[in-house]
Amino acid sequence: MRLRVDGETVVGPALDVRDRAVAPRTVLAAIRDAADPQVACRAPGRVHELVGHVHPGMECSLQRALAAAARSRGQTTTHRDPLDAIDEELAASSPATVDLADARRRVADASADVADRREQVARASGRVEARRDAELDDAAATRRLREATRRLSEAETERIAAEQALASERRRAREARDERERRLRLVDRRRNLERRARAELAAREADRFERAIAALPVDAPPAPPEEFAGPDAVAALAVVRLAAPRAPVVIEEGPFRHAAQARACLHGPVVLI
Amino acid sequence: MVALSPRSVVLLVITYSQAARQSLRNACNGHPETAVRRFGRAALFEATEFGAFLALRLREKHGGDVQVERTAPLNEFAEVPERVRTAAAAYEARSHPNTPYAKFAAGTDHPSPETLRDVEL
Repeated sequence: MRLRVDGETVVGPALDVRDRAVAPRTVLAAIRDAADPQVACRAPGRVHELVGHVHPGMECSLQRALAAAARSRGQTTTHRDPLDAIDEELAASSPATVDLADARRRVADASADVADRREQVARASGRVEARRDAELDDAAATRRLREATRRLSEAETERIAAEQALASERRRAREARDERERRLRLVDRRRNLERRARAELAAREADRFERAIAALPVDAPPAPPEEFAGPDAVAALAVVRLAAPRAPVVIEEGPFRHAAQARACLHGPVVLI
Repeated sequence: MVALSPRSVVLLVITYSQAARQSLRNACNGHPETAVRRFGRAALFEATEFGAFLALRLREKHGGDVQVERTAPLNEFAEVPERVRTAAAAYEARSHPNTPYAKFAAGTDHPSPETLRDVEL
């Protein structure tokens, strides 16, 4: 590993920069970013994502970290195949997007028109009656009534068409929802399988975890992962030791007196910071 | 959960994705006076403007993954023909529990499942 700090380049698998003016986050970001020139090192994987930065007060999802450690050793579970099958199905599924808003708006507008024109017919009809009652010529009024009736009929036809279009869109929407529901069931099933796989994989690392805790220069009593009561930072160091990630692990205020001790204990490159 | 209000119409909100389901859960937790019942991925909202507002917000956020319907209680005496009510009651009172309805209705005055399916309420 090569690390640039204070204008100088330090090289080696076990670096101690505790007395230098450099922030842990900067170094960590540089480790994770291959294009960042501050650090040159092996690319970090999933284990490093989870425990690549060990510091006091950190939170470590131990089950996830142990599962990642198991996977990095090539371990898989019987859930892998069904998980892959689910991923394939999800990739192949693309439910249609059916926008009912336009169809609904059309029905709403059409209904409003019908109501409007019905009112106009009523008024026109009233005028014809009034003319006849007064024994006045009703030809013009009758023409207007016929016109209003014709327009009402047009509006009613449009409303029926709009309602049919909406019904048809609703049918398409229902089919699309069937597909969405299927996706949701697949997603839920995938989460369950992933959870079970993680638990299984983590369980396989239980003994190695306990032995790793015992090998650390800390006071925390060794225990299997579910019973371990020590700080998350210690659990994380144990995972680092048993998974031996190839990318450098950044350790803040760790239990190691010097970098070489850390490297020997953790079996991999370290930066004490 | 708040008891169903005296208002009869409610909005039925159904979600079809994980994200939409989570948003629905948040909405129900945040507004228990409006989200009167939740059944996992679906919920009943009061049919007030606020209920509509909550429902439409969900639709804005999740598009096709949210379905909103308006429901009303079913008054079977006003809205369902007597022959249907009678058939339901008679069938539930049948003496042979393993008889499917189609068989039960055959040879009686009760409507067959096919005729029932063909008619809208």
